[in-house]
Amino acid sequence: MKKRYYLGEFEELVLLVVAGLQEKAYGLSVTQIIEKDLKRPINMSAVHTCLYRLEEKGYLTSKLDGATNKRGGRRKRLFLITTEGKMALQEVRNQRQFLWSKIPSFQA
Amino acid sequence: MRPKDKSYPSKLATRIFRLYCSEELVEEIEGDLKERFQDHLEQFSSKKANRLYWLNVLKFFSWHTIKPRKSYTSYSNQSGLNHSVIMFRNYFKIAIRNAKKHKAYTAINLLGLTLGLTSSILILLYVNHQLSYDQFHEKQDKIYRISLYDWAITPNIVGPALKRAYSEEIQYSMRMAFFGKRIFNYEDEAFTSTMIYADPDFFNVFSFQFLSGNKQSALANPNSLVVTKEAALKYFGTTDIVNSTVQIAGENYQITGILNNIPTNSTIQFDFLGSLVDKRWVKKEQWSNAMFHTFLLLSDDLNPSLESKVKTHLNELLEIPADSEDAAPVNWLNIKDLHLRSNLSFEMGNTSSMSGVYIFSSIALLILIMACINYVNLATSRSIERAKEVGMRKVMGARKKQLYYQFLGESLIYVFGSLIFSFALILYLLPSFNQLAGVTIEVSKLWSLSFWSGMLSLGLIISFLSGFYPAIVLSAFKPVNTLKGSIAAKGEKKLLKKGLIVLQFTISTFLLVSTLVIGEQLSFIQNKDLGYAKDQIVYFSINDDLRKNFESFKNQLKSNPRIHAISFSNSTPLNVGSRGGTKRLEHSSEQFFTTSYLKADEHFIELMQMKILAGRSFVRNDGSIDDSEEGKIPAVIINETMSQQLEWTPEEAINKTINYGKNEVLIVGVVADFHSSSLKNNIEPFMITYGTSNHRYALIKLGTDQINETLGFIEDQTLASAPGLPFDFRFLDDQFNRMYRVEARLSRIFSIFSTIAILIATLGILGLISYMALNRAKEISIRKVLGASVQNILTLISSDFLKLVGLALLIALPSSYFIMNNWLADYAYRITIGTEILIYASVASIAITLLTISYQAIKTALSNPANVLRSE
Repeated sequence: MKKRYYLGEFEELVLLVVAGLQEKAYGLSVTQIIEKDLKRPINMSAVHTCLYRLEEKGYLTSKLDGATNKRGGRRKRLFLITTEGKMALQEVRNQRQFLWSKIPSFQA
Repeated sequence: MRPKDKSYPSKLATRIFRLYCSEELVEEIEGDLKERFQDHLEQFSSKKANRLYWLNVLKFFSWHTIKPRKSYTSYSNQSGLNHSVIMFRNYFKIAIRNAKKHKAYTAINLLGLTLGLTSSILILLYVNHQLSYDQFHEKQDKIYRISLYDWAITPNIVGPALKRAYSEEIQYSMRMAFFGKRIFNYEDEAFTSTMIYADPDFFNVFSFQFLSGNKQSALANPNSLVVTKEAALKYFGTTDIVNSTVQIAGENYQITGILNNIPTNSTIQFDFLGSLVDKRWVKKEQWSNAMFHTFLLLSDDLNPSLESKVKTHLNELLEIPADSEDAAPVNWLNIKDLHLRSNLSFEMGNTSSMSGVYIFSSIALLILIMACINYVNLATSRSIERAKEVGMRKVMGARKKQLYYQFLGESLIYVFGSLIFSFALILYLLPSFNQLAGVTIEVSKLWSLSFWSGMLSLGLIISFLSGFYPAIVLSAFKPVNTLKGSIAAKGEKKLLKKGLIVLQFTISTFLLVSTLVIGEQLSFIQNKDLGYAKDQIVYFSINDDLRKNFESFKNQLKSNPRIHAISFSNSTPLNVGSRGGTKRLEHSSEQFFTTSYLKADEHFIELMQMKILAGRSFVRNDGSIDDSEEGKIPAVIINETMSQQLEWTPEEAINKTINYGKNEVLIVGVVADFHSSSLKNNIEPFMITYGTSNHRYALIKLGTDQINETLGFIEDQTLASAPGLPFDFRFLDDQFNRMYRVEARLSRIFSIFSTIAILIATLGILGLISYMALNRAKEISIRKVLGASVQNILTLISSDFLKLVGLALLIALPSSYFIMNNWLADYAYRITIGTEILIYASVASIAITLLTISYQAIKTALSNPANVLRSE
């Protein structure tokens, strides 16, 4: 049976941001992208929780790295998308595209 | 410390964040938070950035951040808190069930722990009480008692003279005189009670609390009197007696104040306190009037310069050069040390010693160790029974640590159960213990917070000490072995158990030997021939009036047939303070040797019933008495030691003239050696000089019957001859016994607590033998089947224990011999620890062991092997 992927709306968003940030994704950077680029007010803590949930689901891996002065010498938890994560995104995108294609008036 | 910098976020917020956030997440989230703060700082004011920082910190508070991260291994611990509560209830239930199932075991265990805890808590209460003496004075650090030579009391001039000379350094000086019992008359009633006199500054120095009256005026007027609340209720039935008038020895006193009760841990104890102001016997400051305890309240801490100034000043007054060898030594004693660290002549009574505190603490410790050992031995010997439970629990997933805590918790239950019993026992026993130890520990102390926290910590310590080893042993069992039914106690464990039994017996044998030695030394002291008869002799201080009226006073007393003899002297044989140098005339001045002396009249030798070895007393053969006028050579009677020191036989010494300082004295008699101080000291050269002046004491030898009437008669006569003289009499044998009250108390306490120690050891053996009998039932049955006799079996069982007791004796006897010899070394006159004491202790230890194990041993030996082996 084909594996099924479960991604919530916010999870999908976060996963996409992480994928886009490529090795620079951590709690705050993800938050900033969502806030600034998507103009969506968001809690840091919500992002953080979400990142952990995605890691638990196996869509992300993480490592601690990159302490800076600005962070008071604290390291970041950098998140990387896994193959699983990529496949989940692909799957979601395919589904969406399939559904979009069914809407005639929206076709460009 | 970093200065407050606006480019840093609120530290408080960071701290709060760290408080709630689980450790694994702190690093990354805090980093994010701080980075975010820096970003905000670029956009907003620092105030707003900080506010946002706070907000973010609070927003991060969620289930996600606070819950501890799961580690993948701790699967069994998944239900966390809830789980351990359930297990805790289970442990408790099992402990109680086990206790109920083995009632004898539980009883032995509880009894042992209760006895041990009760004894040691009582002893620790005592020790604590001893250490708390005189600590309640507000200015305790600056209150000093000052005295000269080896006396605690001083002449009445010392206090006022020092205050006059050093009014800056010395805030107050205060004298205090103790007067035993006095006769009081109030309205129509008469009673006797203890009384002291003190200068008005008494209340400026000491912190005794007033119920009514005030400290400034209480003793300001002549004949004012302060009474304690307790005494007021006892003698007057009310505390509403301020301004009432009381007669003491015919003088009117006005009550000016009521004190709250004197704390029991005060060395200064009294019912009534009279003012010294204008007392006839104090008014004139002189060196010969030495009956006062002098206390100084310093403005500052005691410093060496004040010490040396005072020493110089006092010696100047005494006309002795302060830097010479004869200079009078000055003793400064802080009031906190009054009770335990002072041991001069004429202490206030009631003093004790640090060595007593150490000895008692060690007894408490030893008894506690024994109680712990009991628990350890009993718990480990039961391990076979618990082994299956341990195995089962392990199979079901219990980890070693859980089991360890389970068994540690069990000891907690036992110890705290015993503590409850102990508390009840202590409540019940405290009055008797107070009597035994000669202290007053109030029952209210038992309800104080400090006592309860002490009990609690003692309980925790004992629980751990007695519980940790059984817990290790029990939790270490391998499930496979226990469930298969094959756990053989390993050799090393047996060794430890045996070692503990040996330790227990060593302790109890040591206590036994000590008790015997102390008891024997005490009875040796009390029955020692002192060289004079100390019984039936009353003595009291006299004054000039009585000295002047001596002849008539003596004749009046002599008219009473119950008064056998009367003599005046400058000290009693037990408190001789005077010393001087003596030598043979032809010897050089280097050959002066120190000689104690007292001055007495011609009745002294007869009254004290001293044995004359050669020569005569101060009464010549023709009935005339030696001369005492100026210019004549004074007559002296010396003791045997002194004649030896002079290198004469007693006979040769008679009628020889010797040097006494710069003077010459004539030896008219030699008496057998007598003890003028504690038996701790050697008999020194002693000289009784004849004299009729400067006497300070009257000694009266009484008949054995109607002593109270006779004393009343003497008081009347004293009052008639010397109206101002307080009749403060004491018995010489009381004074003698007071010297040994420490020994007497030690002896009583040792006998009681060594009994308890032995009892605890016995309980331990009792528990062990019953389990041994159970565990070895099969072995013994097989032996019987194969032909072992009852006797064989008995020998087998008892020899196991006797070997341990034997080993304990081997350790205990030499060590207690050594320690007690050390204790006895303080005494110049002492018993030698004979083999009989050691034999007695050994026999007692062995007999107690045999008696304890006999029942179980005989029962096992007589049991029918068929009953045991059938079930196999």
